[in-house]
Amino acid sequence: MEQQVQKTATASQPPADAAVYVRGLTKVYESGPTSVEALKGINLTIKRGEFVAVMGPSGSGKSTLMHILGALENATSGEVWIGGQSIIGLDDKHLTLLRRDAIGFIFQFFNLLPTLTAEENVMLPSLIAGESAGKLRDHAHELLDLVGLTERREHLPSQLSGGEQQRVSVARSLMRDPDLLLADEPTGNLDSKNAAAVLDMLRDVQAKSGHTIMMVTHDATVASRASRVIFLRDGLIDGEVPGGDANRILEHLGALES
Amino acid sequence: MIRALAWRSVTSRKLRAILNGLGIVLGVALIFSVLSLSRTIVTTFDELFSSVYGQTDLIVSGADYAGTVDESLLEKVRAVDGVDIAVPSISSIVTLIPKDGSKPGQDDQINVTGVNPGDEDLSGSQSVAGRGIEKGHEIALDESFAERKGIDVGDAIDVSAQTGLETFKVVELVRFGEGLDFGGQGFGAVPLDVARKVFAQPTGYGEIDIALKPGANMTDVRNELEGLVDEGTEVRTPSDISDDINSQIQGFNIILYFFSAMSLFVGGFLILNSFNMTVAQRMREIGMLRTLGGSRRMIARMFLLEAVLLGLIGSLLGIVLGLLLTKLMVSLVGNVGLPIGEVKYPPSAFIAAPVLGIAATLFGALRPALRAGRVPPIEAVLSEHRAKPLKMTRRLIAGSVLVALGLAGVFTLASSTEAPTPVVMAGAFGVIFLFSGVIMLGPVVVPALVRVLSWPLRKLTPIEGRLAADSSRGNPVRTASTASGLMIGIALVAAIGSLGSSFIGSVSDDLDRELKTDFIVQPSVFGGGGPQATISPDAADEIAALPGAKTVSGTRGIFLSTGYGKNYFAMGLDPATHAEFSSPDYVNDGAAVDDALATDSVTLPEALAKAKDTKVGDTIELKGPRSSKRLKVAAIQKGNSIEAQSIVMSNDNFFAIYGVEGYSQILVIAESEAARPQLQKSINTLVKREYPAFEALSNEQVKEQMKDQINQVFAIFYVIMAVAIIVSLLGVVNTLLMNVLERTREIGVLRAIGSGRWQVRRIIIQESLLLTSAGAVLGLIVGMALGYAFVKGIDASSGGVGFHPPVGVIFAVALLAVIFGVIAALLPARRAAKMNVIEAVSYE
Repeated sequence: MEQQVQKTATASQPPADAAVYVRGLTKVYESGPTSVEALKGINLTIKRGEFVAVMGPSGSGKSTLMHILGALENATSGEVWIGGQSIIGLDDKHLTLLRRDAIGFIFQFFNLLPTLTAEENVMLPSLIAGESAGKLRDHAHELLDLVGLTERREHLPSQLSGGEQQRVSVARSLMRDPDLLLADEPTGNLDSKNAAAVLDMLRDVQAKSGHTIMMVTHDATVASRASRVIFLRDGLIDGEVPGGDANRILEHLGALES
Repeated sequence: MIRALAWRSVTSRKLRAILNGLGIVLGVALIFSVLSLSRTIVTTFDELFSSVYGQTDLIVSGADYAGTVDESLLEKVRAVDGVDIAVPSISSIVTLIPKDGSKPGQDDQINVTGVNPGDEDLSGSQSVAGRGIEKGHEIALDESFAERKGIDVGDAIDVSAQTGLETFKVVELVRFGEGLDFGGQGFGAVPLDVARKVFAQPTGYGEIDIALKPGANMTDVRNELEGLVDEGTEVRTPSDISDDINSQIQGFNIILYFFSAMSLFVGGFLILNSFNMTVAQRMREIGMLRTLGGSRRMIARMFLLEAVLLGLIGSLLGIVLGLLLTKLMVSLVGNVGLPIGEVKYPPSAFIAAPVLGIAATLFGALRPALRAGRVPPIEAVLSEHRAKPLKMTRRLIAGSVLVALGLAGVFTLASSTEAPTPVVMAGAFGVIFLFSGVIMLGPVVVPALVRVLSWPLRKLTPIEGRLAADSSRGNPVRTASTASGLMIGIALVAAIGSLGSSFIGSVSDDLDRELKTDFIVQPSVFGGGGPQATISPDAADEIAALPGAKTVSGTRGIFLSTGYGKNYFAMGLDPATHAEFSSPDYVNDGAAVDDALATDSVTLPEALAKAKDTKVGDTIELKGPRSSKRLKVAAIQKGNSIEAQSIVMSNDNFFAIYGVEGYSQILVIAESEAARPQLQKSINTLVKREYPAFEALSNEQVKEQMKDQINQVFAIFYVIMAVAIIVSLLGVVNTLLMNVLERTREIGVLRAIGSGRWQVRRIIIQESLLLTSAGAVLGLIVGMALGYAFVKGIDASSGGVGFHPPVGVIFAVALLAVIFGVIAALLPARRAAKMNVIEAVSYE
């Protein structure tokens, strides 16, 4: 299987404008005698600057896809390219570097470090990379301005509202100017008003900075803010619709589940 | 049902249970081995006495520092009605010269008794080889010593005695008791007339041992004998003597008990922390049990049952480990040169150790268990448990008061010359108050300390250092109590270290001030009592003739027992050169002291003068094997040098009283600094030829030797404290594991956004370093405060000691804190690094 991965990896090259390029991606979870096939052969291309939402019923494999694209988990077979770099067969150290430099995460539960201020949380990925805080401050300020938290730089997460925390988390994900931003139910833990505001902000930021975003969600309204919505079922891609129309998304979802 | 829950809790949290259990195992092992050790020591002495005085009922011997028994007394004693046998003897310590040419050590000393070959043997020994001593240079040796030294009947052995090197033929091997081993020291017997010559004791007896006729009334005989003897002689039974010694051992035992109790206390503390953490972790589970109708009492019982289970298993394993630890300690005591026999395990230790172990576990678990009982059912619904804010001011005040009381208590103990129960209690409570006070202050002091200590880490690895410091400060109570556990162990080490360094430092200071010699020629080991091995005055003349020697002078010496449990040395010196060799620290005007010494005077050590209430101008009677003399007290001396601890007189007076002609020390001053190295070499060549037991030492070497001896004595305390420190390290591991568990999500996020495994490990290691170094700093401060109070107390009562910080110990502790910090972090860091990132970030 290892050899097969090698072969296919050298077989094709991703198009120049692809931020994410996935071919024949499978993932099998082995646990004792039983094995579960979470992904059965995914082909997917996300162009640079696209904002893609991924939807699907639970168990469809959307979390697994996200974890593999996020370099948190290894694929069983297939090809995955992020920002022109193949991530298949990388060891833990290189996956870690990839996460640090090429991927930005936005989590459902914000996951800010409670003892660091908003500004320090934003700088964290670069601090981990060993850069000194003095040089990062200006960039962190820009990012906090971008997400509208100029006045809250010195606040601790516990002194911020949920919406504000998620804004900090967005600023953090942009700190290393990543090739791909992964958002896992970014509004799942926010009330509708805050959710809308965070999504507006996210789109705004994306439009200005041209980052590539892949967002996993189960909420059609949220998904409709993306430019393209991809559906997953039983570990395979099952159609896609353009963003903007929540009703069409719901229709497709209904078709999936029936 | 409760029982099942308690059992499952132990088995499902295996690592925690093992850590807790290990703490108890070590604590119980320590208590067990200390009990066994003290029983072994006491038994050794009992057996020693019943062997040496096997069939002796009464002993007539010199009382106090007066010395010997008049020879005329023997016939009077024999004439007393009821006395069956009366055997006179003299005794001394000689040093065996190893055949391989190596330097003689503590275990080369032989306690030799001179007896009339025809006299009845009143000791409990039996002959195992050869025949009894008859005449000339013949010696009977105890079997265990001979065996260890590879000596057999028919061999010739060289010994360094009071008159120099002597050769004896081994004619008999004897066995005391059941193969009793006196821990290095040998026992021997030689004919009395030979002993008189080689011990330089021409007249008098060391003691007269008496066996009574069957049916004789001990009290009547004793009374009659007491009527016979003068003031300087006393009548005792063997058990009087062994009681005396036992009460001295008791002091040593109390110290041992104290230290092991402290280790167990640390163990209890570990349990306390651990159970506190468990309760915090299981808030929801407890709340749920309460919601389902579990009573407070049931919850508390569940935790206590868990504790009993741990205590029981830990105690059993502790005994097993204790059996091994006892052997180690016994061998350490043997190294110091104390006689020690076969290891004895007292039955009480098998009961006391586990009882104390379980008690410590319950003590640790009680508060957390009660706290668990008070968890409101609502906790089951609320996800987050918030710690109550601490009452900082109250802690600060109460803690400070306890610390002050504690130091005062320790000072009280150290400053009293005797140790009646209330004083000992003051000391014991002092230490407990001190530690409790510091533990109370912990949550206030430790976070600040961590902040300071984390500075270099934050400079070195900014983000890891920052996160490590944040984590340790995030739960100040947990961090503080973990550091406090370590603090106790390190504080005791620092306190002992302070005592040691203060003694060593004070003595070296005094030596520097008082001794103006360049070299001292002295035996490589000093005997424990009686006259010392000597070197002939001729040797002094030969040394004086060596090129480079300016002034050479001999001193004579003998150990005297004062009956106060303290030994003093009687010292003879040359008043004419005295001022050249030393500058004594007299409490009175010392201008004419040397002139007075040359005629009919002595100087006394300050402590003896105080104890005997003797003042300058009083006269004291000194009784020796050659004659007795009344001498005037010309001065009273302070300090720690041998001279300052001795009754000092002229060499002539010394010979007249004690009959010892040889020198125990030869003091040498070189012509110039440049002449010293060559001079030391030539002296050593000269001395080694005829007096292998002697060597020429520079002042620095004298100090080194003394340091080694003090450190050897302290070795056993360091072993005990090492156990306490290991126990507290288990606490560090426990806390780190708990912190890792609590911060699962944080660590997961760090990994997700690009921290390497090593970065995560580094955070945990640094956190561990902060904990151990906070404990070390706190421990060193508290320990030195404790040591300071002790030293000041001793100085106030006996004088002559100043506080010297234990520099070596400070560096060792600092280094160990780092090493231990890394070791304690290994397991938790591994856990953190191997954490599943996906689970961690989606973990709620």
